[in-house]
Amino acid sequence: MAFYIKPADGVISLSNLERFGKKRLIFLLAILRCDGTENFKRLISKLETTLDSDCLIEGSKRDRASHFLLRLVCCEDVEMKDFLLRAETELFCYRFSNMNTSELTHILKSTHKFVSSCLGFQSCAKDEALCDLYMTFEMIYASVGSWKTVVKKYMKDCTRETFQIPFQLALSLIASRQILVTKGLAQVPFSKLHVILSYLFRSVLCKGLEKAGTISSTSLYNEKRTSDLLHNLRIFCQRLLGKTQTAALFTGQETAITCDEIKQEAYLFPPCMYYPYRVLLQRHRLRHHSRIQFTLFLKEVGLPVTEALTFWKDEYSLPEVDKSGKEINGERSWQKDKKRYTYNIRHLYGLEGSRIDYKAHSCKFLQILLEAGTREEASLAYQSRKLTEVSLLDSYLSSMIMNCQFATTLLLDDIH
Amino acid sequence: MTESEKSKPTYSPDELPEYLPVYYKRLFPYSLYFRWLNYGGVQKNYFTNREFSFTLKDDVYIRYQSFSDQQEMEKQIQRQCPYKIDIGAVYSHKPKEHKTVKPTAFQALEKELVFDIDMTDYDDVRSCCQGADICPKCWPLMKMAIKIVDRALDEDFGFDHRLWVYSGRRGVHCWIADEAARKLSQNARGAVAEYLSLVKGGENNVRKVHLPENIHPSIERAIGIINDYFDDYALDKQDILGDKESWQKALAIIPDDNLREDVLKLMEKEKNSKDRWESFRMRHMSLVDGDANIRKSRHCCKEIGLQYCYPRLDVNVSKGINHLLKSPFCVHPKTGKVCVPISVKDVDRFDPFTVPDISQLCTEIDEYDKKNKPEVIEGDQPTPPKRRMKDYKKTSLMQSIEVLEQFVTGMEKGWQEKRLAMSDQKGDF
Repeated sequence: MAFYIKPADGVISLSNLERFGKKRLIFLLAILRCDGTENFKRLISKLETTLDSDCLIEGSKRDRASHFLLRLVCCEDVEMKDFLLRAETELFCYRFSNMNTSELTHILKSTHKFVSSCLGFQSCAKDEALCDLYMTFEMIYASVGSWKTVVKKYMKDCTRETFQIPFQLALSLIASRQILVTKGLAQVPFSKLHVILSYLFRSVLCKGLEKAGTISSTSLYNEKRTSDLLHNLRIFCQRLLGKTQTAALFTGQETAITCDEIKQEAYLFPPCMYYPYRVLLQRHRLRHHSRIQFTLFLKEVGLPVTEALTFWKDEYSLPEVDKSGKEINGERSWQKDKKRYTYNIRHLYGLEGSRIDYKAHSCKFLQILLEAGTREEASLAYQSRKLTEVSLLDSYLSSMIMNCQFATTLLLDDIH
Repeated sequence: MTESEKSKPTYSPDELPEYLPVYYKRLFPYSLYFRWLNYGGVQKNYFTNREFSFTLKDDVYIRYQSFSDQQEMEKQIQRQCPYKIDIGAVYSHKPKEHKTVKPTAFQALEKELVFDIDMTDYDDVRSCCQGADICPKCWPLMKMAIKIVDRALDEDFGFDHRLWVYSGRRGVHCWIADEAARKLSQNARGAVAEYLSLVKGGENNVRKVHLPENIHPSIERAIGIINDYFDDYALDKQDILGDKESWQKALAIIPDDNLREDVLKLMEKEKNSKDRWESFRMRHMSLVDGDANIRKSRHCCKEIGLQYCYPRLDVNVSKGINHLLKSPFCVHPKTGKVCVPISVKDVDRFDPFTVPDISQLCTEIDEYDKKNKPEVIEGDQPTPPKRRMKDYKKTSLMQSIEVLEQFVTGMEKGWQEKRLAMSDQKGDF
């Protein structure tokens, strides 16, 4: 069923299982690239004529088998986990939006019944995501007394009538202030039912991935056939996702850059990184989050940690300059806080503390980050229609073109 | 100079090593502090698995401190005299033993939901101060922030146990101790903080508040609270329409060019901020209903008010379960002031400029003791010492400690009920 609470029972050949796993991975990637339900419908119709597509039919045993298989495949790597979460949640949303009234009523009724029976088992009762799912279903059902009515109201896009659930289960609606919340209970209009259910789907899958992570270190790996299967699928997935290793691991000369080279190559930075770089050159300081993001960016373009320490030391040893160009007696400097900055930079390179290999963040994340902090250096990754932003972009581009003959040559090449 | 001015000591950070030991020996409220963080002993090991961090002199920073009970905590604090104490999360194991645990097994499990509101985040709308400075002209921002956030936490999210604390220099913190709050996930904390965030945009943004056509009730409620302060704070103290530079800055927020031009022309005709604002408001009201073109500016009056006054909190402080935040009742090293709780009921009377600093407190104890030395009459048996009065009652710290007392006793009934329920279940009485 749509929530993938219980794996399928049965017998299946190893080669089929591997085939279905690969098929599902390809399909999930295509889903993420899909833009809108029209394209999804087209994608589905294309598949109906292809081989092995029955593993993608909602609710079929093969569908469930391939889904749970991918949980085991992706549970150990952060990027693959993230991919699976996003793609399966998208799939859930598309399937949900393509169901008619009776299909939807049936799904909700049967899931409700199934989860209630599950909770009799101790292992399920401890699963927070399942408990949340059960509680939400109970509360939605209690609001009108029948699933048929719930679905009718949802299909009618009913915004005036609401059901109540704990606010922790409606976070995206709360954060954007789209709904009312009173004494911790979110008042969710029936029209937003799909938002709540997709959030629940995601948390059930998240919890499932956690559980898969604990299983995989046991008997599955002692059995050669299953460990081979998982290994093959992992390689396949990595290739699909186009994973590359970050520069921190590189020791070779060809890919590392030095701090002097940064000055020469900076014009090649994307605008969202070039702007903080220019601010740093002028003021010799950056705000906390901008500094973190810029450090991660330099790491990803190949600046080794030793060069990074020199780079930041050079800038932060100079006196701080304010917006008008005057030197000020700032509170932060390399001399005063050398230990702290060194630790922080090494931490970002995965050499201290929890030793996490931090990745540079995506444009979307930067936009959200900079919206939240009113004092951070605005970057051009920031989406905006404001006059000030446009003039900023304008001056940036004209300064680029003036300073960079290379860019002009590029443009000219393009025309020819 | 009056008698009080003559005797009032002025604080300097070099005095910390001298006064901190006295503060930690005689004034820090260990018993209340422990009663709070122990949460009635309902969950075993809750206190022993709590992380504290100490900042000692010379900026030596020690994380993963933990204590087995109140006595050990007192001893450690008095021995090390930290310049700053931070409170972190409750972990799966004792933080001081974290190196003996596998890294993946050592997890932050629970922590109070916290908020940090810092005056520096308002620099673009304060004309009196910048950076770490605060003055009576800009302090109302904190009053408004406390009222708005507190009501939302209470009425919208149903959080009952909220402790507001002055950070000692330029801001306030809020600690929410409800069980549901302590168990919140990172995403949930972020979502609550997002719900309370309205002013968005970096240095280069002129207009930082965008209201949708239908204004959310929590925002309307906030506008109501801001209106109570607006005349006095924005039009009088901050004088946001006081001169050409100020009103151009304020009115730049209006999205529609024609309306903005219109209103700018009105400014010269009046003589002070109050009249100018009224003039602007009237013009806005008369135009907005009619003209479909200025739909974008439909709420610009409210948006300007919100941009100048709505709370600005640091979402990142609230999100992290393992985030360390300065503890109530520690001393701010730069100002010497104690991080005292603020009673929300009396927030309008709270004055950060009269919050005692430790040199003042130590002087107060001495003066009290001098005045109240028991008389010794020759030849008589010395009178047995009366039960020693808690030192903080001799000082101006007393009221602040009462706020903490109310916060803790407010929760104790709930803990007792929980303990009873648990012992009923277990069957041991």
